[in-house]
Amino acid sequence: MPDARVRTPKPVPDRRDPRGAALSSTDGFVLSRVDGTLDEHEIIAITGLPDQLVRTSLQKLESLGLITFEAASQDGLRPRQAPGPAAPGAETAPSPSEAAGATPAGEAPLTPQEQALLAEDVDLEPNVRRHIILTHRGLDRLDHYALLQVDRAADRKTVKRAYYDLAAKFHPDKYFRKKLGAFKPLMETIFGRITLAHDTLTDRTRRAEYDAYLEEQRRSRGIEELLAEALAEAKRTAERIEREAREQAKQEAPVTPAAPPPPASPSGPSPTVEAAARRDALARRLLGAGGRRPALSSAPPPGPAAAGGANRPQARTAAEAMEALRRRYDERVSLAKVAQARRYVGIGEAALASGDPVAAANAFRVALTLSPQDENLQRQAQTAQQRADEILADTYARQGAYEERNGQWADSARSWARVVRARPTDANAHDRAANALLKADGDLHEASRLAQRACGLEPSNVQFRVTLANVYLAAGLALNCRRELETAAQLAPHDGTIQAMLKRVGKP
Amino acid sequence: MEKVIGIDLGTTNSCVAIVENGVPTVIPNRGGYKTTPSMVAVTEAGKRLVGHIAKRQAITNAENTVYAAKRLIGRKWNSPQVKNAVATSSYRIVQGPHTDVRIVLRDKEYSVSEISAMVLQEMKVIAEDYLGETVTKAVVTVPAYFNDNQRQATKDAGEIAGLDVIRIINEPTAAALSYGFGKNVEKTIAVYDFGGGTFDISILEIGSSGVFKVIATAGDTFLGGEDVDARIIDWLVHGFREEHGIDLRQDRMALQRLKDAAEKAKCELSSVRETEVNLPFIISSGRNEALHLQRTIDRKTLEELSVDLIERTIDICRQTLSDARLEKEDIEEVILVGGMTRMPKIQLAVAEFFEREPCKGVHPDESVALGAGIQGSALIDDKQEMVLLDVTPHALGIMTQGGYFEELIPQNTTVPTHRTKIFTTSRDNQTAVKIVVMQGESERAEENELLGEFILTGLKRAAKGTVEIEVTFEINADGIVSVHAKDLETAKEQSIEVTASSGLTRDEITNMMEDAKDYMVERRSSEEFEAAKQEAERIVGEIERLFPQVEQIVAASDFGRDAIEKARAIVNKARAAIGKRDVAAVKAEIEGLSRTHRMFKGVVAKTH
Repeated sequence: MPDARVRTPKPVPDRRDPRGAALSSTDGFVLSRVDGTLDEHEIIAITGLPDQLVRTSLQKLESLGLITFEAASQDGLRPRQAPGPAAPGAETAPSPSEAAGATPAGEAPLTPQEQALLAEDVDLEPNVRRHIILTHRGLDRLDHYALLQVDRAADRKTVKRAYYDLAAKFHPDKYFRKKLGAFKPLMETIFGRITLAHDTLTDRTRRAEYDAYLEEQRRSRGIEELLAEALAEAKRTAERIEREAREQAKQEAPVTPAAPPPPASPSGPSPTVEAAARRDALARRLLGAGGRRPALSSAPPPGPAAAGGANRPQARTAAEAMEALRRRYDERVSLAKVAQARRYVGIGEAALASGDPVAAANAFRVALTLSPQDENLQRQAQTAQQRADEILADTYARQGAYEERNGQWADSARSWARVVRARPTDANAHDRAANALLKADGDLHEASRLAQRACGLEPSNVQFRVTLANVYLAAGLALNCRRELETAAQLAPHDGTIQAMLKRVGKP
Repeated sequence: MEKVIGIDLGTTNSCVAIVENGVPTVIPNRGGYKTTPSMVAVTEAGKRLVGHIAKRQAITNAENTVYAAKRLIGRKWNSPQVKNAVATSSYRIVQGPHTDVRIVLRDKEYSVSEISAMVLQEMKVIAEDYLGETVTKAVVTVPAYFNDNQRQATKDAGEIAGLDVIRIINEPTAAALSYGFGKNVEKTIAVYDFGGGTFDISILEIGSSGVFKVIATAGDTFLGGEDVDARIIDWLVHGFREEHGIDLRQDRMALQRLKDAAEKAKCELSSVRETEVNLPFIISSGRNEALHLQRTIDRKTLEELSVDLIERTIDICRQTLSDARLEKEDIEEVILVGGMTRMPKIQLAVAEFFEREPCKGVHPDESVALGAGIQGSALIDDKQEMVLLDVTPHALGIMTQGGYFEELIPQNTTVPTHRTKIFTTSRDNQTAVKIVVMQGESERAEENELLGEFILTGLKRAAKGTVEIEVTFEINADGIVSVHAKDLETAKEQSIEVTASSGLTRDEITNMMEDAKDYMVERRSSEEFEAAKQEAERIVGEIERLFPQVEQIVAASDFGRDAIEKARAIVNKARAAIGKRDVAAVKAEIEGLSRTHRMFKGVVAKTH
């Protein structure tokens, strides 16, 4: 791979709260996918967004200091640089995102910012400070149940008790007129969140709605995680293939000086047995809990066997020998990758057969990252994705509606965008996606595209016109806004809201 | 650790309590009473009277005696409640300099906060005398349905009285604290608080970990025992006019006597079936002849007179229960607070509504002050496990174009809390926007209470509706509201802490504080003088009693005559000091007087 060096964006460990930054919902979405393991291509693949959009977005995120790109690995250096200014004795800590995802909040080490906070001169015991910091950190990640540390079946009394225990700890009155410094807003935020959790879970209707939402979210998030995992696995596989091919190339090298071709090789010494076990587990998960074990045996074993060294041409010069070696290396790699891809295709087909297009779509996508040139595979992946999207669209529509009701506009915009992707002719979904984007202060171009599409699908719908007008208004396009409003006014001459808006926009 | 007192500043009576060694205790006043009338008077000699003594002279000094000032606190001059009070009060109410309300006593205007400060100061003195130390911190209660202006005015009153009001809490909440304190229960309770001037209902949960959570609260700040009194007065006035053709309302002194009699009759009818109102010489007939008012009123009549008032309280209970999204059977205990709940008809109505006998274990006059004391101690004392989660009793929002009220924080939201909403400009090229912060439940802004306003300037010139302003409301645990407005385009930010206006400026409050401090110094020094004077006079009396005997015994010697001269000189000096009201001089003489007295006693004892 001579030119396009694939970069891996990483979240900045102690980045500021991105909510303050001027991000579109696309940026937010992309940012949410950056986990330090997925590279640019994979992010493009899992977001399902146009390449250029993702690249621009990543650039913006980098310029805002929210992510960094892994330093390009050269000269076989270890890709992850040693933590710069940290004390030499410091443990090689995993990046916060990894740790937070894998372990309970209490285990993750503090970021430098949090360390500074911990050292602030306030009237709080160190363990209390730590508790506040860690609880606050967990707020975004935890659902209401996890936050209150109750299980999903907990009755009203249990929820209340859990809430009271936490409220007694985090209510600012607990430290009345004490010096709390930066901890006071943290405590108030925590208190607000646990109160919201309590208020939601102790009201029958609100809890039922929330449970349904959580269920939808769990399903779709599970799918996303599965995909991310599959992609990561595909990447590891590809890397292993390259490494093994290189090892072999080294052995076959005719002359000593020429170093083997240098693609980066991160992934530590993972014993093949372990890798195989992991692959099997993943395959099982991709097929769903009830699925049979896929027919893995059909895939040829990866590795050097395919590119055996029988007909080795006579090397006349060192350069030619080197070139031959490189060719053989590339051949080996690509063959192995194709073999792996075929394995995932096998999984995908099995999934389709067992009626799980979502798992199938994921498997095909992984296969596609391993074998991007395969047109047949591209078609297969697209069809599966379409079917998966259709199934997920219902889920996302329900999530979007719940998020709308609760004013989570950025989340809602994201959910409706998924619906729109699966249902390109659903005017209502387009309208709601546009509206949510508008309310979320998101990408207005995208919002106008969506709103225009809604109007195109149902030209006589007044509501869609009003949404489009609002998008124009927000974008500062007063003339366009007025035009849409006038169209709407023709459709509904007696609508007071439209008249009021027209009045607001004023004469051209 | 500094002591914090809890004060129930009531419409008709006030009460002060403290937690001592973990036990909440009501502090009696010097007269031994646990409650003190919330009355303030100024005598002809310009002397200030507070409490029982003010109440006792109210009839003869009706125009200069203030009662029920709480009904006016934090209100605007043009409000209907103030108009009503102007028409029915025996003291003079006038417009203040900031559309606020002032009360005239002996030609001097006082703000309502100042009057309330006098009552608070009295409660502070009661506590100080009992504890034998200075008290500077207090938790003061207000009706749950008080808005922020009324709360602020109450806080100002505390400040004027020299008290750091560390927290204002709601009366029904305080009652619940005193009910639940030290009990390890998990219960949902309703507190029905019908006091002298206001009605409140609160629904609370007493939970584990010492948490008290208010679920919902509502009320009427102009519905109380005073209104029942007014019904009795109406009834008496009406009957008198039927009989004599004279309107007793024309005479302020008669009105004050009627008021006393009505209140007394109302209280008596809680324990007896009928009582007599007997007011001889209530008014002159105009023919140089005095007329008497004498009527018998029975319990049934009182109940008929007040049936709609009671019904109003029950309606509010019903509404609050539904706001709390609870059913009657969810309420596990009903607590009655406030003097009006002694009325049998009210007890019956509450029991009927909640389908449950109200709890008998809570003292209707003392539990609020006790609860305030408990909250004070919980805030200051780290060892106390109690935490109170209160709600905002009114919705908070801003005024939008067309005079509408846009709600940001709904009623009954647990504090601390914060909410954000985005608004846009309403005119082309608008570069400034006025944020008008209001409180209330009406859709129409004008019907709500104005809390404060500020102007966000420097907006980008653009078409109307295109500039977005993000408004964030925040209420902290102290109940202080702050509002931030942010221009989303320029990220320009502006914020205010909405110190709801009590109607007083900072300077005014500072001046009033000084006045109150001067008054206290004067009062304390006059008390000190009185004590020294009494002591000196007592010893002088003893010496004078012994003079004849001592003279007889020692007159023979020069030394004796000399001693007697000296004794006379000391007594005269002491008298002169008393005459000059010179407290230091009197105190200085007491030593000499005591020595002389001891010497005299010694002489007499030796001879016998």
